[in-house]
Amino acid sequence: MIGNRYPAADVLAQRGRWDAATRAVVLDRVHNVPEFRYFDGHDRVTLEALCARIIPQDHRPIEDRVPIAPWIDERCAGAASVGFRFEDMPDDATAWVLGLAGLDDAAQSIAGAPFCSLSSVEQDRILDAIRTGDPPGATWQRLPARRWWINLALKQICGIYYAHPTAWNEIGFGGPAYPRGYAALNFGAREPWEADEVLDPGSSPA
Amino acid sequence: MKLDVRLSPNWLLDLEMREYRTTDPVDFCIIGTGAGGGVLAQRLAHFGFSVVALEAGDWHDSERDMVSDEAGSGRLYWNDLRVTGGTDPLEFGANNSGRGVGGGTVHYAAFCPRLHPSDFRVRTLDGVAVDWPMSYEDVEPYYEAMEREYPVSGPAHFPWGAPHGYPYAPLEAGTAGQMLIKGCQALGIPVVAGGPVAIPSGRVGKRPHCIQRGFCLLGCKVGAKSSMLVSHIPDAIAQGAEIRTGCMAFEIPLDPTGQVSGVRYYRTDGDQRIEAEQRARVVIVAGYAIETPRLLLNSTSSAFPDGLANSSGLVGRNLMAQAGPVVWGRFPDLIRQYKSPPACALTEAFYETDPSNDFVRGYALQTVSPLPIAMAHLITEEAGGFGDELLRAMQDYNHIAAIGVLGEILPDERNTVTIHPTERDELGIPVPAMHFSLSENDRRMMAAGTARARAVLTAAGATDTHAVTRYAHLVGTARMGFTPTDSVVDRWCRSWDVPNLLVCDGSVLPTQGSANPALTISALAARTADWLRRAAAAGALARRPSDPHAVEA
Amino acid sequence: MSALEVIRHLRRELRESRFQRTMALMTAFAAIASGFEAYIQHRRGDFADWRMWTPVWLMAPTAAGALAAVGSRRAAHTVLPALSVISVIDGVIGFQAHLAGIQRMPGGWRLGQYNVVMGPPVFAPLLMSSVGVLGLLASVLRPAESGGGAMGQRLPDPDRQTGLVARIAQGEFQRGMAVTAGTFAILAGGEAYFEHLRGSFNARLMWSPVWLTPPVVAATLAAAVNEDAARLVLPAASVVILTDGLAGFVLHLRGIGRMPGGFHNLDFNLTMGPPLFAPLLFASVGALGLIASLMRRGSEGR
Repeated sequence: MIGNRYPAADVLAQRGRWDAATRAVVLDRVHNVPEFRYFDGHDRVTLEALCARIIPQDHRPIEDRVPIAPWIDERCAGAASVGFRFEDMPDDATAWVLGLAGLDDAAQSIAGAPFCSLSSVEQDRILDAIRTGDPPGATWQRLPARRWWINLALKQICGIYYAHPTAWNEIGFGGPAYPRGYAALNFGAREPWEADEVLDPGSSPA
Repeated sequence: MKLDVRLSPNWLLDLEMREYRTTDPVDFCIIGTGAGGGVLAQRLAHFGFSVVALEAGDWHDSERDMVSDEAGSGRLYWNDLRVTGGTDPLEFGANNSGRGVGGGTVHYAAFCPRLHPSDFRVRTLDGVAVDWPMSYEDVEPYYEAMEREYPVSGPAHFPWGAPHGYPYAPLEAGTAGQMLIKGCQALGIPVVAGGPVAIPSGRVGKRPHCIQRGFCLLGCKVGAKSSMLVSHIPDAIAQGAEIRTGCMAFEIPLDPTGQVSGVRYYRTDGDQRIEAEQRARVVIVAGYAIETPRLLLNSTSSAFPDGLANSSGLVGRNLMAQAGPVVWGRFPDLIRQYKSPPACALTEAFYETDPSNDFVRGYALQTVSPLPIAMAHLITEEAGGFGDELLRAMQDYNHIAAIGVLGEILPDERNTVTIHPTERDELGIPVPAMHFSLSENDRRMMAAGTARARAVLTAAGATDTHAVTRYAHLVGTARMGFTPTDSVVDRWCRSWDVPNLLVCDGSVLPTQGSANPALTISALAARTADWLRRAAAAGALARRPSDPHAVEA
Repeated sequence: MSALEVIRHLRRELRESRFQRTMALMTAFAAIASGFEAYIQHRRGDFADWRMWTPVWLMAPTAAGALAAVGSRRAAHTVLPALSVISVIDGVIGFQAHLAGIQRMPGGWRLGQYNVVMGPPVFAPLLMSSVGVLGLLASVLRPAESGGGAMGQRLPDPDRQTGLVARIAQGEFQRGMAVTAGTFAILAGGEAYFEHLRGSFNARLMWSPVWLTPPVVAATLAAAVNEDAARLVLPAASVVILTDGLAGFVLHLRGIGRMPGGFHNLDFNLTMGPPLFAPLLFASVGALGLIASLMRRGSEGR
């Protein structure tokens, strides 16, 4: 469980100093979480479970957690593209469907149950197997595990999480900066409106 | 038509832009408005030629379209489908491919070093790759011109390659940049601060100076960072060029006399795909190293069954990216690397071939300062970590400084852009498929550069360092050379096969050095523009360049 | 009184050093301007070192003391000189701290060409000291239309005046004032050079304070050694400097307005834009030069 390194951080409180276009984009992301339309019941639950293991948010009240799975769903429904596909991978939406099936494949193989019904510890075991690149299950004969894990699952899920002001507060990122830029450029100093870092001995960076 | 594009808080581009009819041949039709196409449009319009530049993407209004937000900046990149493979497959999209007026210069970090004199003679000096069909001295005046016109900030004395100074004072480096300086100083490695970067340290006309917001890679809302949008395109329009957006070129037709007659393209109007053809006397392809060969390879004819201007078979071959490993260190002190432009310091101390190495050519070390999502991508790529391991690593974001190694990968004919046999994009155009693999020299160079970067960060005080393999920039796929069999274009960027077809973008670079290519591409474009002025006047563009020394005019 | 009579009156007051109030006002203004600049710029360093607060803390008391000196002779003789001495010392400490700060930057003095421009501004703290010098001068002068000496007592025979303080009090400080103005000119001009270099001299006029500094320094030195220079050359040079500084203030204001967000983004634009009050500190060199030209030299008749 991670601590709260920047307890006073609140990037959204600065939104009055952002430009209108940026503010609209960020607030839309925060407030207009899309409905699921691509993934069905079981896939949806599996996807949510995967997101909760990659970005655990148990330390946060439910209403403060950053939604991630709905955005994956929206990407698949809208066929968003990052501008390339590895030749050994299918398109993103297909890769997600296959990957979620692959999670169940591996879960059945290792723990005898679908992924979503396993405990967090067991789920992490499955994910470690995929991370190392050689998980059990028929799906992974067709879908390169490590490529799927890093380039699809991790990068897309992280990309959604760290696009959210809650995650920015967690890492002490100052957020959008226009027309007010940054003035405190030396010694990692903070701007007057940025939050102080609070280190407790357990979470010292070095 | 009257434009309405904001380029900076003080600059609304509201010129009346001239429009040409597609059926009336213009003097030059340029495909692409990036570092090459933008300069060409400006120069040729200045010389009095009629110019239409086709751009697949759209304008980027600094107020409406650019945002201080990573996830919200997708429109800057070429997001159409491309297929990538090989043992070391490249990634595209946001990594290296821009879309819209200004091309990649809208999202680049704006490092603008020059190539070294040795880069033009790699074959002669090191026995690998090829020599350029020109010397550094041929390009030098154009480097100076581009450094003035962008403009580029940098130290008064840049010691590497051919030493020179810069017209604008160095840009202030943030703490992350200072870690590169500190580490280099501790190890006795010469380093320069504040450039060379095309972010002026003072006001330029209606472009305010940099406000150190650090979102350079997402487009500069201030108009401070030099991109074609603010440096050359407005002038091109003022001189009578047309920038026609939303136009995706799909074929360059050849007429019965063996010359190109124009450019066929698609415009999207709502859901409709409208086909059009701009007639032109000369066509210049400047779509960067993937789209340029794609267009040429898709433009087949009985005269060129393997792709337009491809008698050498080299169109799409020798695809090069620069090695771009990102090495980051965790520091006990706060860094807050997101502040100030990512591009603020570099060293080229390891650029040239060092006989004591087990590889030839070399690399540069440059500052990079990834924003949160980019940083998360690096961390996940390193170890595939997830859960608390990932969250904890990201919580140290403000204690991280990252360095990019920019290394010279050598040309390899087996690294290619070809046309995918089945996939088509949304407009129905066959998509490009890339194949890329490293050579042994490349691997050794990357290992050495990565180790060096780790040492620098450690010397600066990092307690632990991490590295991920990455690549940057794209060049080489329509390279220039000495003869029609060893190259696609000649020293003036004119194709050997078709007298009125030129390629003038990153595709033409025969080698890439360890310098970010934008400045070189622009310099080559300015040089080619000067030649075109002479050649057009001499009527040379209707004749094949049978003698490599033909038109000096 | 007609305009000419006003000018003659002022001139006489100046010649007899009876312009304590004016000098105190200048001191107050300079204290506010330099304290404000220190606050804005030290914020960029997040006040990491507690000493960065000292010029900010000094701003209010020094300005208050100087303003009090306008109304009260007692304040002019007690509070103002005390605060002025503290200001001078604070500026010297700041100068040393800035030099140490430059050294601490990566590369230190070996990257001097870069670090002097990007690091803590070298001359700025000494300009803070100049506020103290102005305050000291003010405390020694006499207020207009006063009859007595600096300490309020009857003036003894002028032929028997010795001592710097007494000479200043009687307006016989022309040489010293000229040298003071010349010193400030070097500091202000040097600061202008480094800051304008940082902005790449993007406007031609940014060269003006740089080119004007050597001539005005020469004029002050000439005034120190030659009375004619003091009466003719120095005032001319001073008016040019004054004008240039005022123009700079207007241009800096315009520059701030042209930054993103303009005057609606003041907390940032005042920090990262052209420093607003710096040109006025440059202009004050011209004011000091003018004052110097109107003072008298020692051992001459009234």
